[in-house]
Amino acid sequence: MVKNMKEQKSELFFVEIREPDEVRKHILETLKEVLELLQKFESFKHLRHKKMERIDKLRVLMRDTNKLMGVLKAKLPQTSLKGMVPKHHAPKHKKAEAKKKEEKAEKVPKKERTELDKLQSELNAIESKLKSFT
Amino acid sequence: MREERSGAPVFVKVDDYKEILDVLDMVKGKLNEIRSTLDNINELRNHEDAEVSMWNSTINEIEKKVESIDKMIFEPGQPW
Repeated sequence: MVKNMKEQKSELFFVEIREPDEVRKHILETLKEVLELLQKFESFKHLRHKKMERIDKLRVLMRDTNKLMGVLKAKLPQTSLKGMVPKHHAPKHKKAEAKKKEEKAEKVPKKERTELDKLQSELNAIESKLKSFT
Repeated sequence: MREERSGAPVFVKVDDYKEILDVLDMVKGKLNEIRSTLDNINELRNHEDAEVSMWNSTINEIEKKVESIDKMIFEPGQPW
């Protein structure tokens, strides 16, 4: 048994680490840098949070401005420049087709409109109004 | 020079006109706020960019250090 232990001890090998102080120093420096990075990450998170807050504020401000512009529009007289141009009476059959289309549109179940859809329809309405100016 | 437009002139009641001016003032105020908030967001974004580039350089340094540690450990001296 003792002999066996002696044999095992004699089989142990060691590898010399060259410049061990340098390795130790490098490891400690790396550790320090990683910790600094983690610290920076925390401040980055704070920055991002602040930025998100500002973006939310911006969204609210945009909505408020949009509402105010609506109020402004409502305060101004409802005139359309198209009205100045002599109206062309659409043929009756076209009117009938338009009615049919409207009826069809009503039959289709309305999907729940998202904020984006609402904005898009608002944009379309404004664009069509702008077209009437040109 | 005033631009000539065809069609009937449009009139607004004095009270409405005052209200319109008020609303316009409010819109201007909101736009000022929007401008300053946007400037703020830009500033924060610049900070973020600076942080990210700093991370990049730190990671580069860490990579170099780990590489040198790797070299030191895998180029051992004489075994004994």
